[in-house]
Amino acid sequence: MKVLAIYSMKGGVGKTAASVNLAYWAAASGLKTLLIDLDPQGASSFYFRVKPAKKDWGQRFFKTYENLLKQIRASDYENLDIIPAHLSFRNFDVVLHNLQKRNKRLKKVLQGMRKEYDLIVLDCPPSLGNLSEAVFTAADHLLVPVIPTTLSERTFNQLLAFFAREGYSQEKILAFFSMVQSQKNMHKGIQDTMRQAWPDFLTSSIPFSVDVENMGEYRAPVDQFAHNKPANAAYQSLWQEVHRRL
Amino acid sequence: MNNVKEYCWLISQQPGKKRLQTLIGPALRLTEEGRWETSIHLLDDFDWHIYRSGQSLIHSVADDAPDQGRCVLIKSDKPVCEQDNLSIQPVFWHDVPSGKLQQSLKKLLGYSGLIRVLQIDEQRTVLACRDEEQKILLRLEVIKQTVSSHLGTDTTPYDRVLLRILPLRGYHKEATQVAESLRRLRHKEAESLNTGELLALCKIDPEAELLPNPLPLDPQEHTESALRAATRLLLKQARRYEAGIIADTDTEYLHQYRVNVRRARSLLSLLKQALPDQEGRELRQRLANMVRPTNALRDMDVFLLQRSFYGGLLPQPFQSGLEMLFRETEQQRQQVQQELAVYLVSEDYQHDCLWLDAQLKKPADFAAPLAPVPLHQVASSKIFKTYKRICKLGSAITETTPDEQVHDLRLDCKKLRYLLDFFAALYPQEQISRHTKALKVLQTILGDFNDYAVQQESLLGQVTAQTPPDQAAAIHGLVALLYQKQLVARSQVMQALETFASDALRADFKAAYSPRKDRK
Ligand SMILES: Nc1ncnc2c1ncn2[C@@H]1O[C@H](COP(=O)(O)OP(=O)(O)O)[C@@H](O)[C@H]1O
Ligand SMILES: [Mg+2]
Repeated sequence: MKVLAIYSMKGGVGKTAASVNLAYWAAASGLKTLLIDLDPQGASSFYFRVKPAKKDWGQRFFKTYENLLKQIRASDYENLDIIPAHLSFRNFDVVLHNLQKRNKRLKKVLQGMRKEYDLIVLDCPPSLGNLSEAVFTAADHLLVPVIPTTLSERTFNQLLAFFAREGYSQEKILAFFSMVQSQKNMHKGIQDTMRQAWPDFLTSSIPFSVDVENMGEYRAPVDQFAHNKPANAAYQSLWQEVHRRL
Repeated sequence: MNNVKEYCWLISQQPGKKRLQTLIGPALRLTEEGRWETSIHLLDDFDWHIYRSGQSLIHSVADDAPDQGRCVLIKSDKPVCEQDNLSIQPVFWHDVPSGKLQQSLKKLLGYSGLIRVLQIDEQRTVLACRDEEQKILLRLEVIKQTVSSHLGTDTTPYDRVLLRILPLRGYHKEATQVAESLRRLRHKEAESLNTGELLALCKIDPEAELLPNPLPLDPQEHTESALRAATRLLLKQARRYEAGIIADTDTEYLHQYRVNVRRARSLLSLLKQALPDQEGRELRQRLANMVRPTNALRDMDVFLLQRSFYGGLLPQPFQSGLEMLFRETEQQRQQVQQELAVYLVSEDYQHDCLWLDAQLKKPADFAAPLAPVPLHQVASSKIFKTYKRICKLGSAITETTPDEQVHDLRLDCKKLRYLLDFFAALYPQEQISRHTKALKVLQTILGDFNDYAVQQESLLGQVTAQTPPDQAAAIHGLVALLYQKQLVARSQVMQALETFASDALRADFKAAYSPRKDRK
């Protein structure tokens, strides 16, 4: 079992869009996949039409994996299950703060899933706190969407610096360009400089596309309603590249 | 972990989507996800080798993907091995790509081809049950199955309709509720049909088609009556293969036809003192007449079946000559097969068969010396005598004995084999298989020795003045190699004979078959 976290300190960069579509393609390629929506806003859950639990269970999330098992819902797609977000997840940083060995907690509960799943995809909220550090420990790979802008470049470098400072392995980090607008010269220039500075950027990137925005309307992965569109091919190829790295 | 209870019911009528929606109520909405039609075939060869091994071979193909068939070999309801993406339904083992399934089929089928025993046409409609946000909470599957036979003529197809309720993880409660609201459709729990039940539905009984092995015999029965009955059974079994010979389904039909007629004829001659002289002679003559017209075709089949064996023996430069030879034989074979088919449907042939059956059906008249003797006495003395004869003839064989004598010995071994097979029911099974096994070792060596000789002869018989040079070269190359193999087999004959005539086996045979006073 592998754990793939889709992470960025910034919001609105395409984490959730990537989580939904990558989890979908992972399942389609035959991996038993579990998508965990860690963001209390519950955007991933919304795209898959899975309602949050009625009970407030965020406090119990890091206790034992049985708590997680109870929350698993099947998606409409074969091989893909989901743990929907709950508003109580907004307190994860605090919950973890009060626990011993907080960095290892997430890793530990996820281990309980290894009999059933080949891949766990974590859709992370944008922050850099206790939860993020638990994610850095639990994940085999951190997939970071980067919009090719100066500000995003800065954020990405901050993440690298944080990893170096706190002793996390930078090898876990995989990055890809997200919401790319090829007609913008600035996007092109920044992609080139960043690829030079950080050769581990994936070759696949996700274009800025109305088809991705439309996920909100269709409430389904892009493949379901824009099968022949470039954005769909882009997610598929991003998945294939990630799959090879797992 | 994720063991969600699934419901599978037999229902009396195929319900429409509307009816299901009404029963479920407005809280959940049904949408059709798709319809699939699949044809499923139970395959076996004509002699039920897969059935007899306790297994079943299932071939299934979706109507919308006819070139992506799938074969599964099943043993006691569990798949043993399988193969996907079959562009055609396999007939011979080598029609399946190499792998586990191919290996299993090779062992089970040999040269036999697969035929369809029965068919299940399955029509599957999948409906999704969605909540107000269109999320799927569970699925329903309505399956209509029609079972029909490919064998026999007058079987009406059997229909049934199943309703499956397939819960999704995390939504068990909803599934239970839906099952509750649909319960009135339920006739009873549906079980998946196993091979035995399917065959029964189609009124197919493999056991009834095959000769019982061993043939049931009564030790006290008079030899003449038993002989007449057994010969009739063997002929009936032989005639079972006629249709396959005429249709030219595979080479095994002709082979088995000949095996059974030959067995019948050998019995008549091994036990000739149990029938009136004149009648016995006539019966044997008629059986010989039955086999004769099949010889040419069988010779060609045997040659063609050696294709890959011969191909493997010769180096590359000879291959094209050899290939040409095979192609020519294939062409001639068509002609010969046609002739045999015409013969088998001819009135003369049918008439002969009727005559044989009527003759054998006649009550025993006990005029011949062995006719009234109880079977078990005859059996033991025949077996023991034949065994002793093999030992005696065998002891006379040296490195330099002419091949002719070795061939004679082979024929005696064959006789003993027929006797052990025929009388098997009269003795403990373990004893018969022990003796058969010992005999088989010897027979294999003698058989190889004979086959190599026959093959050389038949190959050389194909060379004429008109034979193209590279064909002749291939033939001569093969003959040389087969001769080497014959020498190897010949060198093993004496050792095998010695083992077969060993003191231990001799004592064993004596104890098992020498006449006992208490039985008289
Ligand atoms: N490749 C893209 N092209 C156009 N719009 C996108 C793309 N990826 C994401 N979006 C839109 O941007 C918004 C934020 O994306 P989201 O995936 O939710 O980001 P995050 O999870 O990082 O906050 C959403 O409205 C989404 O529809
Ligand atoms: Mg998000």
